[in-house]
Amino acid sequence: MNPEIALFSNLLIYLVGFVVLFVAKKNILSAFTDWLAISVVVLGVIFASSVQEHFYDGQTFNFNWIKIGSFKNNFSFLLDSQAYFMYVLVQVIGLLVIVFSSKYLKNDASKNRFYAYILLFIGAMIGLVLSGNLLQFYMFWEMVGLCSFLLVGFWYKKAAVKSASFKAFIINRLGDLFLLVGIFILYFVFNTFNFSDLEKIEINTLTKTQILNLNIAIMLVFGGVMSKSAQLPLHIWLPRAMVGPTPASALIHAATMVVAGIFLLGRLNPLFTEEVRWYIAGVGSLTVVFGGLAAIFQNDLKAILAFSTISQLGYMVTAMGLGAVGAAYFHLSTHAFFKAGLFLGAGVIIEYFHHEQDIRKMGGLQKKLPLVFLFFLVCGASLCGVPFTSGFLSKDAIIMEALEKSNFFTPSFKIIIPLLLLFGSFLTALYFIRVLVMVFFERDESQIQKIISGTKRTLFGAKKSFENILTGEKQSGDTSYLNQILKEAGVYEISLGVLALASIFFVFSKNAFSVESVWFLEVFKHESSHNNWVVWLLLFFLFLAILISYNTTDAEIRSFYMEKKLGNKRKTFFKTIKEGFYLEHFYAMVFRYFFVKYNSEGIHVNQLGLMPKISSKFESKFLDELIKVLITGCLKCAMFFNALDNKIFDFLINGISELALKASEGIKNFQKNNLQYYLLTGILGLLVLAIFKFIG
Amino acid sequence: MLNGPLSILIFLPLLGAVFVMILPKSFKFYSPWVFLFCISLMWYTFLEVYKSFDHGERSYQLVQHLNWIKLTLGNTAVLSIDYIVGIDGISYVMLLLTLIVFTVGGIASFKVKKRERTYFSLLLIMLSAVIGCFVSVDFFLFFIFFEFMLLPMYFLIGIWGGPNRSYAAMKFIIYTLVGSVLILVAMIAFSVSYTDDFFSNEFKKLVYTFDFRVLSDLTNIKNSGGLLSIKNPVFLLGFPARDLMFFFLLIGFGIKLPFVPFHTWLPDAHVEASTPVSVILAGILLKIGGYGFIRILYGLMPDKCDQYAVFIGLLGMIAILYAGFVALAQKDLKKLIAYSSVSHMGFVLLGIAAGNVEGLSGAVYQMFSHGLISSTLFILVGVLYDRTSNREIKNYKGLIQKMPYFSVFAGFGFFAAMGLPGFSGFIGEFFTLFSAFKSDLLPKYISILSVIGLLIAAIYFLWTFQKMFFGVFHSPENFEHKLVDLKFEEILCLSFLLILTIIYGVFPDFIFSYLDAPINNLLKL
Repeated sequence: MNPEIALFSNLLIYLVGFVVLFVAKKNILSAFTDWLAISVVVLGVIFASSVQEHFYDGQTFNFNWIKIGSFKNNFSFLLDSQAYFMYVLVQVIGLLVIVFSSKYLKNDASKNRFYAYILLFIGAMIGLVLSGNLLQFYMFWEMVGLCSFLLVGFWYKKAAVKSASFKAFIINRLGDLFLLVGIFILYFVFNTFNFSDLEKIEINTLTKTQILNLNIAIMLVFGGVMSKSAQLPLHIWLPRAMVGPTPASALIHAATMVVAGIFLLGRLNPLFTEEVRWYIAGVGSLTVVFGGLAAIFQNDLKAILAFSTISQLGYMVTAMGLGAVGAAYFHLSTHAFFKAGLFLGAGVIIEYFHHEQDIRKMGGLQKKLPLVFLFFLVCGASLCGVPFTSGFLSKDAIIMEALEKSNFFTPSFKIIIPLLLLFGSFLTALYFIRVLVMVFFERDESQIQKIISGTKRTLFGAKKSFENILTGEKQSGDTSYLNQILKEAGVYEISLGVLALASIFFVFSKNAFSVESVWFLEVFKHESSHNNWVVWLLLFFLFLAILISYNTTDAEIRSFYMEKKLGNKRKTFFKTIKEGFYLEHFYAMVFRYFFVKYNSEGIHVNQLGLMPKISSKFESKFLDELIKVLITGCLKCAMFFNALDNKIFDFLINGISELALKASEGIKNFQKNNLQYYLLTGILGLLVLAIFKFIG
Repeated sequence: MLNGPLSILIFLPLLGAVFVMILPKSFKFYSPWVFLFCISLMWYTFLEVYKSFDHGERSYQLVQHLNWIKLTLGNTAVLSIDYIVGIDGISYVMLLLTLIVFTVGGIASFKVKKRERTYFSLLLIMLSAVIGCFVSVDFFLFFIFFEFMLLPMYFLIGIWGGPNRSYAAMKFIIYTLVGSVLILVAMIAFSVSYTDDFFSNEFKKLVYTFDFRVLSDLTNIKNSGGLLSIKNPVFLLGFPARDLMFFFLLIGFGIKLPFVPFHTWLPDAHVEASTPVSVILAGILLKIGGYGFIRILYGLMPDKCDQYAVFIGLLGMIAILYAGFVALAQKDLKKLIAYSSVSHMGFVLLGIAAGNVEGLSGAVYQMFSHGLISSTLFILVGVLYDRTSNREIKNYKGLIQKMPYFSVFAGFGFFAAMGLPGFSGFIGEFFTLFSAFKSDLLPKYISILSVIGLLIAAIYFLWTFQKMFFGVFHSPENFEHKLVDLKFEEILCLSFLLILTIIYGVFPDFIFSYLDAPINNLLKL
């Protein structure tokens, strides 16, 4: 098959899938929604694998699209290693999420709508990563934002959904506008939208003003990335976005929405100047620490994972800023797997506790959902960067890159970036252990004992059961525990298991400790030197974090049950961090001030903010009044002229006629057949004539 | 005599109007069908136009030139008013939009149950006038048609409107008449300062003409004594006459477009007008303002357009932002959409101000797309108003549960109006903003600030959508049984419009390919 046809039809099947599933309610199709959705994504994966051989040389496939005068923009697919990797990743994660949701949303009446949105989401994301130019990229970028809005607002009856989905959409729209202006400036400087042309530009050859414009453009583009990839000041929508169904969150956090920004940074990486690089890396590393800190103080399971995503995205942004494109993508892919695994695991946990999301009220799940525990543990270990997991390798790669780029041993402000990243990894372990202890462990036993025995038992059991399967022996009695597990292993465990398996090192590398042997980085031609001490430092931090977290979490649980009050100062401090330094409140305040006041229930239109108030006042009090005044003025004028007409002109005309009448009335007397009068008139006339004659 | 396809398009609806008028009373229920029959004949005629249309032709094609009035002015000059019709790409696009909007308006008018014959004959007269406007190549002819459509609109608002209809109709007519007067003055000024060299030599007399083709050529300006001369400006009231006439035309068409601060007739007219009339008003009548801007203001005075580009751009920016903010404050759904129309027409101004190929194409595209999208939105409002006679946003909550089909269409319509990619609104907004940024005539801040308009549009549309459709169903008690889902003809109208919106949004070249040649001609490229 032609690669362009494959790519085109791949996009098309998602669109068709969306339409078909959207209408598949209460009709014959509704029985097959699961299979329809799964088969669309499977088809997509097949299409993706059919174009595999084309991505090495970075081909572009063009279709005529828009032509206005000399401006020409093709609909083009740019298939290179970056695009291809994302192209496959999005669909694989999407497939697992759909498999998972087939059970998770089994009883939801509008499951078809959910699948439709998910398919549209995956399709938009594929379109985004395959885009060959910025205009097309922007279109898909906004569509991805729309899909996230639809998924977050999926349960539209819930009260919290309104403000959450609104926030998600508006913050993303704000970022879109930054990106839009950035794109305009890029076009202004380079006169092209095509990625393949932009990549070829040598920034050393540009003039000073061009560099300045370029820097502004990249900063604006990064504004777009901040909103989509939830970087520091514009991250607030992501934690709120978890009111949507959990599988949707998994997709948003792992492979679609939030990594779109990372992908854009990768695409435009050759255009970054040194100053911009440090700015981006700075924002990224601050986000790492911020996300980690905020995650520690959350009590909502999904909120912790959301802040964790923010923190991990910070790693990727930092790596992109430093120019370590390969390392960033590597972390992106490992993160996609383990974060999807964690979210799906969280979905199982939340369902088990009947939609209770507060981790302080959970506990003891290890025994009840042993397989979920195991998979959650593996994914979480990968998140923390425990050796033998993929997360260890990718995080290692980024931190080493940061150390190298910032010349760690020559003191300058740049060393703060690797330090922040290291601190971030310490925080990661802190919050993850907290979750693990609170959700899975029995609360009355000694924790350390528990984890060791529990892990041992599960691992031992797993080994035994695999042996059993291999030898085909049927066990009785003592291994019933395991048989039971395997019997229960259903859709949840399969999708989770695949994700957990993908979070282990051997998927990416032969050597669990060496970044050099990662095949993934070879594709991106990533070069890095290996500092062994970084690994040990990381491990040390990890160990430290685990120890601290055990103790504090233990204490926290106890104080939660004893309802012990924290000291006021400490409480304020914790609350400040938990609320993300009240950034969200600040935005809400600004928004309320300028646009419209709102609360979580929705919007009070009658409480308008400054701008609409001024404008509508101006409209009704000034413009409308002005017109009224003009019209009444015209009427007054008319009345005046009417009066003028009636009183003066009519008076004059009437007056004259009346005068004439009166005069004639007077003269009338001369002709009353009265002889004296005739005589008198005659004499008077003669007199007058005589006088005239006399004078003349 | 009048046998070209364009003349047929103008006079067929007039014939239909006469036919509807003389329909016996017992047959009055067939008047909508007569209308539809007329429209389908026109679609058929339009197909002829489509077939014979040449994309590469820069000037007018299918031109039909008939002598009409020849007024001898003394021994040396003659004033020639001709019946000239012809189309280029711009008018072709507008013609297409006219037919689409009137088809939808006609289908939506089936509900009219009051003096049907008058209603449909007025509608047909207006259709004829609108098409006349778009195809006339003579300024005088254009002006006649331009005036001709005011009266039907006045009656359509004034007779079939809401409770406050006479005020709104009066406001509409006063505003537009003021605009017409200004255009009339400018038109006379034009006619006396341009001469047709070719005919002048032929008749051995000075020939004054209203032909756009003559007027758009700056070399035809009379060198001495021409009122609008560029070289020897004549001063009127202390301004150069050419600048003064430019502003007359700007305001004249600006009232129609409309831009801030001459827009206040629009919300009132919309609120009082019935649904199909609103559809036609927003879908077509506003576009005549924009069309006038491009054809007459830009076509006849490109020098002044460049000179005042910043001014026009600022007007566009103010319209986008100001109307957006006012829309945010509205409680009446129809008023909100009316203000959003004003905001969207600001993009048209922005594209015209940019004065490059992308800008003018984007402006025409934006008009086309707004015609489709605003028609969709007004039909959506009409659906609610027909059922409950209430348009207050706060009276509706959780409509998804009660009217799922309606909600889906409303979702599509609102997101299209927000300018989301995949819908035609995005292309229009993108290219007008892009061209304004790219243009050498405009400072960059105009485009950058106008971008905020997209955010405001997202805010008010999304909010309204969430308020009305999300949450648990709730409304005043007597609405509950009234709110039934869409009927067949509503689904027909809405899906027709939305499919077109999506098709043109995904394949913008279906429009742009028509605009290339005429706009290059306009810009003298």
